[in-house]
Amino acid sequence: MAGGINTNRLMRQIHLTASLLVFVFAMMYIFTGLVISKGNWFHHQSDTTTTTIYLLTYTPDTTRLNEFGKDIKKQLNISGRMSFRKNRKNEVVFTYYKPMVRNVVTVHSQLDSLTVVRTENINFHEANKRIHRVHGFEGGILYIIWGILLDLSAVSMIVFAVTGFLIWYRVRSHMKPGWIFFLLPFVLLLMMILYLK
Amino acid sequence: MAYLLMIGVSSLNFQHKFLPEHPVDTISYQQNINFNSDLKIDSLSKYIRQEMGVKGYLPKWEYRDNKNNGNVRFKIERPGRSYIVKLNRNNNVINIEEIHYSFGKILRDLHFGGVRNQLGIPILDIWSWYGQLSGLFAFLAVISGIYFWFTKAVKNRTQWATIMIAGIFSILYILYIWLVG
Repeated sequence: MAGGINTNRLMRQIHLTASLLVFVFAMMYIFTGLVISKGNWFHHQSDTTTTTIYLLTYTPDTTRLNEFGKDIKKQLNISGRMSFRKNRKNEVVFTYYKPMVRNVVTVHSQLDSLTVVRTENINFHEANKRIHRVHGFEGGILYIIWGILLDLSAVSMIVFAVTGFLIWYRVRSHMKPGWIFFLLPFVLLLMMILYLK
Repeated sequence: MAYLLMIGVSSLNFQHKFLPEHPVDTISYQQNINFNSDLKIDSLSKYIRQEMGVKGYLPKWEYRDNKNNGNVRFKIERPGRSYIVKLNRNNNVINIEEIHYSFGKILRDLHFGGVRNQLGIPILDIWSWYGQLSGLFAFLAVISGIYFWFTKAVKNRTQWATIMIAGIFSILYILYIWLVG
């Protein structure tokens, strides 16, 4: 019996720890998810785009794109998560992204100038949508931490759900309607999977 | 529980791609649909979609309209499935490729579908409402969890300070990524 009480206590502690370990992150994801779901409640506006061309006063070293990208970031006072690729014209394109602003910097093939296209959308709904979608581990230590916290939030949700079920299961004879709330969503989930298959 | 499990697994899959998302099955068939060949591609695709009896999004970047030979191609996307539609403006034969996706894509679509459904498919509407309700309950569960933590579990100032610091750090971190990046 004592073992049973300990298990129950352990479940409660895991349940509480799972919910509180990343509570701010979990709240952020749930809140932004709800804002996204109610898109029609919010005012929408189109992106505003500005294009600027800068002349380069030096020849960049395109063999070290990571450093070059950081130099551009510093010189043009741009912030955000950096990534780079080559476009169809074989030009190097750096993207600096943060939820409300995206700067796309194209290095012209002659390496003498840059085109900066700044796209901005200062809109509550859009900002929520974009912060909700930040994922992956590229872009430096800040984003690695973000990726880890996102993983922890996801694992916490699973642990929170499973331990919540186990806590209820121990007292199921006193809380019989719980079967409805437990089984009905699984039936719906199964129906959805079969429908989408 | 079902929703939280689905959200948890699909969120992990966004990050680590451990579930397959590729097409698993393609069914090709033809349909005869009479249409006005002068219609622009956006109106034409909407009309064909309606006549096919399919509900789904029409991504504009998938529109192909060859003025020289009359070939038209567009895509209809709905959760778990997509349709590639090819036709020629000079006849009424519509070639359709119906693509079914694997479990990872279905789970991804359920993640998005729980948030929003604009297609007017009843079962997706139910899922969407269930998703929003689950989100609301999860939000309340976290808030009540914080309340219980402070009223019952926190025994001393060190624990109290740890939670406060972790909370404030997380808020500042989210704001930093949001505003500075």
